[in-house]
Amino acid sequence: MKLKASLVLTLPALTLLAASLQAAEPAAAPAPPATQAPADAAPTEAPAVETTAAEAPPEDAAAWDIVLTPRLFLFDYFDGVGEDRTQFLERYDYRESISGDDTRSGWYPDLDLDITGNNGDRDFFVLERRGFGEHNHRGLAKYGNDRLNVYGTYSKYRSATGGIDYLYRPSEPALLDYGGTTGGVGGGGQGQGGGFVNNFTDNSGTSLYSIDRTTYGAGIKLKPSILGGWATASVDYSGYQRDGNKFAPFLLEGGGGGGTGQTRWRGINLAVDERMNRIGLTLSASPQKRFELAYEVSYEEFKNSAPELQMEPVTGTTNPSPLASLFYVADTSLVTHGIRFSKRFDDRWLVSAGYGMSWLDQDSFSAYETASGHNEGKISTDNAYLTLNGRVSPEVTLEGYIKHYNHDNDSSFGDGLINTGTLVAPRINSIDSMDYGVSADWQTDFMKSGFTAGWRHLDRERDLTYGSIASAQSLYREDTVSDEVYFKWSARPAQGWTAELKPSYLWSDKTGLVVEPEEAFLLKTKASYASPSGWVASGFYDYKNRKNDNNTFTDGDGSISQNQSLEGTLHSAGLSMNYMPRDYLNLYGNLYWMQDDVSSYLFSSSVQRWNPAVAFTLIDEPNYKIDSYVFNFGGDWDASEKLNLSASYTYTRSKGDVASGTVYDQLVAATGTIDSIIDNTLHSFAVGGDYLLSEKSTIKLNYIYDRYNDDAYDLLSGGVHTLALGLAYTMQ
Amino acid sequence: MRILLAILATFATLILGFSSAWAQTPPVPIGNELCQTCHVAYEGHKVNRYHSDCLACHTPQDKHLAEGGRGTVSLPAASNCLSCHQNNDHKRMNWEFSPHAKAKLDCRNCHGVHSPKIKELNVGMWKSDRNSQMCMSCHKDVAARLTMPSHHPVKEGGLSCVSCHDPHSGKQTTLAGKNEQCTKCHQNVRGPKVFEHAPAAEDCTICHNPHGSPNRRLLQLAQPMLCLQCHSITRNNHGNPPRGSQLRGCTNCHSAVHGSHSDPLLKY
Repeated sequence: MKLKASLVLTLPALTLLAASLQAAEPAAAPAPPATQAPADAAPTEAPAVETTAAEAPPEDAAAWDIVLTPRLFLFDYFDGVGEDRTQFLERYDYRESISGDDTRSGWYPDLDLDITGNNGDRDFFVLERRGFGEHNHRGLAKYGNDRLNVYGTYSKYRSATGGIDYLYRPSEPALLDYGGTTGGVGGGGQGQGGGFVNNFTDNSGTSLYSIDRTTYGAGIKLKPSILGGWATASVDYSGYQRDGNKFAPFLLEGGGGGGTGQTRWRGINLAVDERMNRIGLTLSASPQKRFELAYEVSYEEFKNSAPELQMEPVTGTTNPSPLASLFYVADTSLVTHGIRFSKRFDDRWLVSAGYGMSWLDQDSFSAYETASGHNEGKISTDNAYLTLNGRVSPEVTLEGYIKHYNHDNDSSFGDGLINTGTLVAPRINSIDSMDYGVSADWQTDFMKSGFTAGWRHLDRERDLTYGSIASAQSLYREDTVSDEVYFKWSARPAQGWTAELKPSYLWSDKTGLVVEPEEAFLLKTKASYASPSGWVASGFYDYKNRKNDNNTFTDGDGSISQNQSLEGTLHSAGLSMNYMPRDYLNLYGNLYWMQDDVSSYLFSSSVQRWNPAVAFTLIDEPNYKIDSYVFNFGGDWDASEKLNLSASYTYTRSKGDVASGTVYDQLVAATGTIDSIIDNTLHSFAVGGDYLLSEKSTIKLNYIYDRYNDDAYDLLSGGVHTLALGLAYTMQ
Repeated sequence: MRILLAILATFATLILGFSSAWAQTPPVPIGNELCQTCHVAYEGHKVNRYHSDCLACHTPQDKHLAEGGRGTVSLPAASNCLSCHQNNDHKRMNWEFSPHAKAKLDCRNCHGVHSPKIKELNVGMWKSDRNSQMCMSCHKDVAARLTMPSHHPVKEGGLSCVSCHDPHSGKQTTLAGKNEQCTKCHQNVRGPKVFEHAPAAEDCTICHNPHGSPNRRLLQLAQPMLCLQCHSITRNNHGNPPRGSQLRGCTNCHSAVHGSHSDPLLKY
């Protein structure tokens, strides 16, 4: 029924839009002049071929191309969890049968639409709809003539990733370190039973979680022909509606705030009900083509309609306050505007500059914020850039840029809410960033090469308010200062060959975040070959190593400082091949490998970091190391004038340990392999064909087989068969 | 707001005041009958009026006119296309500073002037859009990430590469910060929050890889390794050594990880 309603609403709306646009069509005009001129009179560069609206031909001569493709989808999820839980493959591919709302197997219809009107000048009207069922469909309608463009879009997509999150909830699976229960009892402090995590209480009442995102947009653009030939103006609207639910675990305050230990740690079914509407105006101009100027302004409103959950009614506790909200999402509004300019001088120099601002305002406040005197939430940003590109000789180009970014948090500090006594993480008052650099590019005949060398510098200053936790007990710092040099060589050393090499090195004197590199080396390499016989092969290898020993934890008495030592290495490589032995046959294959290897120290603190007696202890240096592989091959074959066939197979594998040492041992002790390793494989096989039944009708058949195996968490394993049968009918 | 109105009024005055002064002159049509003696239209071949003059974009050498064949006729460079498509166009005005331009790409590498570059979607990406398939024909590393266990649903048709990326511009000439790009769709996490989480306020990509990841929720690393880079673990709260039942998911307790309006420890 929902699908029918969707179709019933969508199709007439789009049809009405098409009809109204045609009605708004400008008056008929004479056909364009015949194109007759001697070839030797042709310019070597594309001239600014522009035609006024008066030359447009009458659109009653328009040719319409209409393709209707009703489709029937059949699906069957197999070997996975039942309907009461979310199958892993369902997370991005939620289906529901039209018969009985079955989410495991069944069928549903949908309709693809392609309507194109061409008036000899252009496709002046396009309407496109793609439907993959009630929970995944999208559409676009657009109209254009010499004076304006108009468009409208919509889409709906359901994601069920929250259902997978639920399968990892604190009470799933039964915890081994609690003796196979869903949470230990007792313990307290540091002992058996997990300290503060005594027992998880699932109050959600459901295991199914999904979120629908429905987007819509519309706009109109006035072309230069009605704005004096040198300006355009457009108004664009976009919005979305986000509805659904998600699983939300939380931990209540100590000191009796959570009641008994049995109910301190809980999870609830949290409603999601959000709307966003944005409208923007863009003006672009190039007066006498002397320079380009663009001004953009937009206003956006975000509204959360989900009910506010307050502490006491939900949890039965008044700590820290009966009004304290759980997962409050505020209404906000955002105004942005920016002006940009670019100018070319003497066809050799190009300068571009821009300035933009934004103001983000919090429009609603939780009862807790209001009671605490927090009544203003405001973040403003300023952006500016200036870039200059100059061709100093036919072979050499220089470029320089400077970019500034400022982020100011002008929100109020509600007394009793965000005073320094409760502030356990630094408050960011502002971030001020300046980024600049220069580069030179040299093109030479030597292997048809281009060499680029450059340097860039980043200086970021933060104004932070450290509250209860002093900066010495935090790894967050106020300054980031880094420099980077890079070099790039790209070449075409022989017919059909290309090669590219790009090393870069970055060093930092100060890093505000420990994940920013103190030192990083990056290497990118790429090569490709296209043979005269139809082979195209390409490959790449990228390497990135980053380290940071800059940031330290210092004990409360100042006696000992210890560096956090972080090192990460990322390898990625790929090989792609494409072979087209005949016009009617295309074969391809891709192989990709990535290894992410990150280690950092594991520190424990004797007490909370706001306690002056805090002392840090280095426990271990756990290591995360995951290998990912993607292998894909397939082909397209025009078997005859009537029959096209195509097939594709993709293999995706991820494997490795998410940690080593103490962390790994503890994870294994808690849940076995589930949280300690990643070990999964996804096979996806698709085959499809189109067969021309008659001049106007084509039958389309696709079969897709997806199979996911998870050797770390078998509950997630499962597969799905999909069969899509369509009949495309063309009307002209 | 007054500044905004003043700028708008100035711009509107400029447009209205000069709207007729610099009107374009009609084009000079150039024939292409000679080309069409060999280059016949094919199925799906469409000609926009502005692209109907072969010699406006192609310059054949004498050899081409005599013998034909590839390599004997020039194909349009980006500068040719931009001579029309850069004027009055805020999206393309900074093309020269884009990574695509710096990689020496031309418009025709992505855009088919005579017919769409991507005519049919690959059967393995049948729910996706043409733009994304075009992008993935070069960005194979991103295409691979988009098949990983956690990814933005581009192949599933939930969004497109161009939902986030502007192929005609680059970071140097954008007026939006990294987070502003993400919070164009994810407004619920953007704040302002009373209690902030620094990486969420600074850069979403510190914790998330937007294309795809072997870890849930597009996380760069699995928990707890992601969190342990910046955080120590308090012994009296989490055990000594910290227990696996807590290490397996820091966000099982600290779930308001993008910031909170109530709790300084980001627990709700």
